[in-house]
Amino acid sequence: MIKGRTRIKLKIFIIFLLFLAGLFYFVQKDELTRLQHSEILVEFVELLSNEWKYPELQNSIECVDEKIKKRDHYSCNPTYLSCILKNNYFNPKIKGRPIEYELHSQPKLLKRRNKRSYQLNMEIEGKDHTLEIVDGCRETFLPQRFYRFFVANRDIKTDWDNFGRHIYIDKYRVKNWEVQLWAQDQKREEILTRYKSLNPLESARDLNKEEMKQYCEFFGKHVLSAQIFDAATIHPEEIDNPESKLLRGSYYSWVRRNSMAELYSVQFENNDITEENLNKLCVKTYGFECLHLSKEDNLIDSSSWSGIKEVFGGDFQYLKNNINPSENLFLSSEYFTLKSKVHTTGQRGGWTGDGFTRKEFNFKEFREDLKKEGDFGVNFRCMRYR
Amino acid sequence: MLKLLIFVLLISCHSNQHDPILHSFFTFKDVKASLPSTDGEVITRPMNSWVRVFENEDSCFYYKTPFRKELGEIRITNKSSKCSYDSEIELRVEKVKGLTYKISHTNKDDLRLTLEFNDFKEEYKLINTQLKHTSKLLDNGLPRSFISSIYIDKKYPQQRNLKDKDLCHGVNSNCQNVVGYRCEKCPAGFYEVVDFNCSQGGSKYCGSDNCGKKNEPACPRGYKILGSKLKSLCFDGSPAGLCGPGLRTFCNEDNILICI
Repeated sequence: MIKGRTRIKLKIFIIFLLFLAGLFYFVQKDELTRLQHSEILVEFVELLSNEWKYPELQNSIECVDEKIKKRDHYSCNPTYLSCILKNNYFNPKIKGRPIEYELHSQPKLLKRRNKRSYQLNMEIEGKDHTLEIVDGCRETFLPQRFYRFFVANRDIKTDWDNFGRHIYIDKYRVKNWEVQLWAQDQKREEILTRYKSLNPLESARDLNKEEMKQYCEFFGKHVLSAQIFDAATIHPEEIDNPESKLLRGSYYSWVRRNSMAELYSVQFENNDITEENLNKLCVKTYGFECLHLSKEDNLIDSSSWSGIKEVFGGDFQYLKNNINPSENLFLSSEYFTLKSKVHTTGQRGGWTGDGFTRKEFNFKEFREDLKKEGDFGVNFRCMRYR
Repeated sequence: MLKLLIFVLLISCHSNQHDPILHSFFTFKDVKASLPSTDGEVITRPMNSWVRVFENEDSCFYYKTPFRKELGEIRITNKSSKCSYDSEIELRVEKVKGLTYKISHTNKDDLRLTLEFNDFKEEYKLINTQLKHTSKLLDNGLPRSFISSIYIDKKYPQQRNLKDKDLCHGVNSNCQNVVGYRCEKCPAGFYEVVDFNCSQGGSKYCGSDNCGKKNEPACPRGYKILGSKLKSLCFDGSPAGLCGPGLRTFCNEDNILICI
């Protein structure tokens, strides 16, 4: 039988042990809650990443332009993402139950080395977090191989290679929303005023050469050069063999054999442009005859073997060209009829780089094919080395 | 009843109390592996030594390798200015044997680390860690992490950038890197010059790319196109670089091919 004092000591000891057990339990529970929150966080971010890269457009009508519907325009687009988050069009779930979130700020452009990203301040399940969302959709890598550069139209060519060099090219022409975000960060008030009323999803068409250079340099990039543009748009003869020196120079960026392109028969075999072939033609080349169709959605499908899009048609494209400065403008555009041979790779004219009236442009031998005058616009894109 | 209570406490103490600390170490930090990848092999050497296995922005993961009958020990220590196995200890696990780790990923993301020791095995999603990559067709060139496009609460240490015209990658006539590649530190991009005939390309400088213009470097044509065995591609009239109209290549005193 336990004596009185020993009994008290035992009771104190048991209480102490129970206290330790309780403390241990609550610490474990707190750790468990933290673990559970981190699992929810990872699930949320995985779903957000999918939406960022492959947006589901049908459930977010307010955030989608009624005339511009292709997914490319909205992937890796922070203004679209911010719209769906603000309006709760994004509905992530974990094990069947919705994850609660709230967006606290507009996306802020971050300048990081070698990548473009945006900061979002959010509250996820009651806790504040800073997400950095990286743009991984809007560049493509130029494969390392031999290439041909058309130095003077298609008359003078120079062959070169990029083995050991990493070159990344913007997949799309620079858009108004991208220029706006840059202008906001750099406090370029007069650019911001110009761009306030423009459709953010359309390509930027009124920057001068110097502004284009400043935009690209902000991201550690350069304005796309004519030499690299030729490389990315001229379909290789032997695409599977990077060591191939067979460099013929096909006319169209999406197909190796010229005669396989619908456009070839219209340009070189005098075929008519009919209602049947017009849609097929416009999807590859948004030319003069396509003006009644949706520009942005058609242009986006004009793709090249290397992965860049919006190659032919639409507005002119400025290409930096120090090797032949009088050829700094890719001429394939909506200003020329589809029948014109201007819609082939390596066809370039000249632009003074500042101003958009007729006298700023030189269309060379394609002057006669010009169908749309005035209101010329010049798009551009950037490239970078690594 | 007392014995029962002590018994219950003892077995609950044993279960994974180091897990939340390990989880926090790997999941939301930028983890760097300090040992060359073991790819699943048990870490045993050098014996009876403190080796740093991983580190992140705030902490360091050390392992004292086993020796003879003495088993190993894992320590996660707080990183003050640099790592040390005897700074403030966040986690200590004794009597460790068979410590091994494996890093796996599919394509561009889904970067995971599996850590194993004793009867503990856990897989961590490396959210904020970046792994170098190789570029190929249709690649976006981003480093790998668990989800390559999103980082959570990632901290960036203050980074010093280079200035315009700084040399960010220097090669010599033996194609050795005299200045290691660091061109991501250039604030407004970089450009390559034509100097030596190397597979890693010529030297590179921070700044706008004005290649081909008068008194500027010639635009590189690539080191394979000429099929040359010369050590240097820099000589007057060299075809290794492109220049604008009316200009020709000339090798300056820095052994850089320029256009004049």
